[in-house]
Amino acid sequence: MRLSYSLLSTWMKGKTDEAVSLYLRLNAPSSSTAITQGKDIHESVGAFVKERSCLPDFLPPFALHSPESEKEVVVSFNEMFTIKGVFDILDGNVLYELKTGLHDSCEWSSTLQVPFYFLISKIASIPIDRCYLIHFNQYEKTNDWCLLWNNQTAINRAINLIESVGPEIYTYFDSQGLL
Amino acid sequence: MPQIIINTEELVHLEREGETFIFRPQAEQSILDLLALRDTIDAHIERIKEQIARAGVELAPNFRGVTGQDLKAIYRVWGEKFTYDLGFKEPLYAQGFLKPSTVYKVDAKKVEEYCEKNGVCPEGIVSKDRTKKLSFVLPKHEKNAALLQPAINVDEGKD
Repeated sequence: MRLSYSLLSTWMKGKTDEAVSLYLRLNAPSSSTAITQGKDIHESVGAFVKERSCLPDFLPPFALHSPESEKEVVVSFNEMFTIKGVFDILDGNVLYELKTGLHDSCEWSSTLQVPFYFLISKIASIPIDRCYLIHFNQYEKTNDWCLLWNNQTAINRAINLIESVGPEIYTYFDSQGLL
Repeated sequence: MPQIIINTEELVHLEREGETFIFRPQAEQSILDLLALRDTIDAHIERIKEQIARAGVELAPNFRGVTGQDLKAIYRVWGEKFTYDLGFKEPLYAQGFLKPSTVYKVDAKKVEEYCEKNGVCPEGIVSKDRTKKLSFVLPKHEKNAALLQPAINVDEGKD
């Protein structure tokens, strides 16, 4: 079974139906304008970076060197799971993760998404040593950012997340004939 | 890496001396020595915070923090995010942007009068368990600063 951070976090919020739609890549109706806007902004930033190898003006002016945008990485975690991540921007040993909406980068840094990506990068032998978590508030047209250093503690938290929540998801999906 | 040598025996000695303040006025100096040491360390830590914030903002504007293995350095404002202009109270309330808040406080005087008269507390009133604690107040530091921490709500990821 393939796990993504979105699937794990959706499941942890008790949104079973949404988790199923996510896994099966069904076109569920947009849950909010904010999510639709967020996806549009992600896509436009990805395209901009691909074309110009720099960040657009509405984001912090980090210098990029050889960026890859929307890099999908899938690795084997154990005999039960593969895990998938889509790195917004990977530039050498630096990961840039973009968030939109009202919650600032500091709040996002408390989630396990970046540790999840650190775990994927470790298994895939992609040498990421840090992540700049960039937030863009599309309503106020403001941005902010914070830095997360890669370390074993963060990776262990991601491992713990998968090992504690993954089997529950697996059992449900299996019982529903979805695997 | 510079070595910081802490004479733990001296720290314990100062502590033992300071504990006798109620019996020996000269014990005050031991307490002041420990407080001065704490202030020195605090000053170094404050300078670290200022420098991290400065370096972060120089790297790129709107810096918010750094997360390491066992430490998170957060650079942000604290307290309630919004307030409102009293002149707009009615329309804001009508639009649902304000919610009324009713705060109830125990009228201690009335409760005590009731207790004296009836020998028991009114039903539903509970005595709070308040522990006495000693604090040091230095004449130049008598104003206390309140630090409010924001609640954190997390949205879902994207992939």
